[in-house]
Amino acid sequence: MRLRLLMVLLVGLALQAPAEEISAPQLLEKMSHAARVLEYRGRLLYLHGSMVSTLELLHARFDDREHERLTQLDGQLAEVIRRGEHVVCVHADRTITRLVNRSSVTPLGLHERLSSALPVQYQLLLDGDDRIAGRPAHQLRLVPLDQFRYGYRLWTDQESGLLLKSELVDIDGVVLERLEFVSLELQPKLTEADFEVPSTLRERALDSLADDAHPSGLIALEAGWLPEGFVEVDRDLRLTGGARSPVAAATYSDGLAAFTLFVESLPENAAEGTSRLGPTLAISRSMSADNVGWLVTLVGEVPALTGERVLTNLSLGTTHD
Amino acid sequence: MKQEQHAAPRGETLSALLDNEVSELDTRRLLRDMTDADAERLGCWQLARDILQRHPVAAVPADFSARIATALAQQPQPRHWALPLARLAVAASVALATVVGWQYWDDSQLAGAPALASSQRPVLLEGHELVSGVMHPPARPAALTQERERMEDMLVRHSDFAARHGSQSVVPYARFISLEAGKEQQ
Repeated sequence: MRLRLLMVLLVGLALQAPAEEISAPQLLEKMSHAARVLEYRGRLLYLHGSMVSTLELLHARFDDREHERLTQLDGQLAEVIRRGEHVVCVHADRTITRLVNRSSVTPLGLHERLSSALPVQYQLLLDGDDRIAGRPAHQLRLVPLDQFRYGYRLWTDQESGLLLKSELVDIDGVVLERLEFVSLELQPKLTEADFEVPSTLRERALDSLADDAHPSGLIALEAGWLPEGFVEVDRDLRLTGGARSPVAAATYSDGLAAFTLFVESLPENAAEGTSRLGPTLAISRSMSADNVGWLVTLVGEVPALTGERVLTNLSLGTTHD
Repeated sequence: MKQEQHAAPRGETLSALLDNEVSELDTRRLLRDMTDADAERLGCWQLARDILQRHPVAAVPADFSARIATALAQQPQPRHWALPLARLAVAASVALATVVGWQYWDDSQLAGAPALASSQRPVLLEGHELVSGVMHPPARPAALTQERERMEDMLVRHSDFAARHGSQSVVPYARFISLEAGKEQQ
């Protein structure tokens, strides 16, 4: 990691020299890398629709584990604290949700993937220079080549490579959400105490189960159609919700966008339908496998067209082993 | 009094009222004790929900964040990092309406809310024009909290997946937190 940090710093220094032109894919790789390796603290605005939130972000590495804390500054306190594979969500009602990731999948592949092979479904364009949070920034655009995914506009810090501003854009050019730093401090000298979990009223752990612990973990998702480039990248089975019911999940990604399919026993009066939570689409449908009913819910940042088509062409099978 | 001690936070009770998820007794108590601020909140939430149901997605004005950044820069204290209260209230209500609204958002709702069962009407409308026409038919009484936690957990899991496999590590968490914080903002 030290070596990586050094490399980032060297690249940063190299950038000071105007002669060094950096390519768009290099910027993406640097961005992805910097976000995970550097120590920083900043304040951000998050906007979608008419909604705006102010957030504080802390990021550091201790014992080679990433620590991240994102805190809502206005209104009710809500935050996400990530320490290595442990993720804690502090809800507005002072309850918390704990989630521990199985370590089998690491985010390591991402920046390599971005640099070596940006998903072919996007075109990457360099839009020149801009200024965000008082810092010179490179402006990038990722334009989707079909209508099944959203596009991105990204601004990265010329000095550190960090993502300073990000917009999710639909096919009509409408900005669905925007996250941007209004201030950024590099090397703020954070300590592990800055990532402590506050005391809370009630906890619920999203406990992970073995796949065969519940029939929903054995349901095979047979996707008859996926947008080009999307592959299954992760899956798990966890106890969730107030009722502690087992819900299986599988996430699909094209390297940039992601959606998750949740499968659970069909609840009484299952709510089927389509809704949006900010830029996030949610569609619930009941389906059956071997005459057993299941509720499948797609959650993700993809156009409604994509979500509908995935679900329409999805069938459930049971794996017996 | 025992009932009072176990009462849910005020925001939650109000939103439950909005969803017709409270008992008749609680409704009477709520309406009796309702302050002007509560009434305003309720109105805001409903307004936001109405807007949302007709326009699920709205665009961010091009210069919106620039204006906020300017405003922020002019504020000496971080604690004053706030928009005018009214705008915050609306922002909060959008998130609340969106999260709570999930279970009601089907095609029939988008086309126009179904008529309210007449037996539900008198209790909630008594002397309160403000909430007239705001109630949705209770899909499953008392299931709201459970439903909300179920959705929250899905969002947590999806955000976590997306943060680890998507391109913008912190964006999925920001999405989740903003929805969370908006739910019961005063």
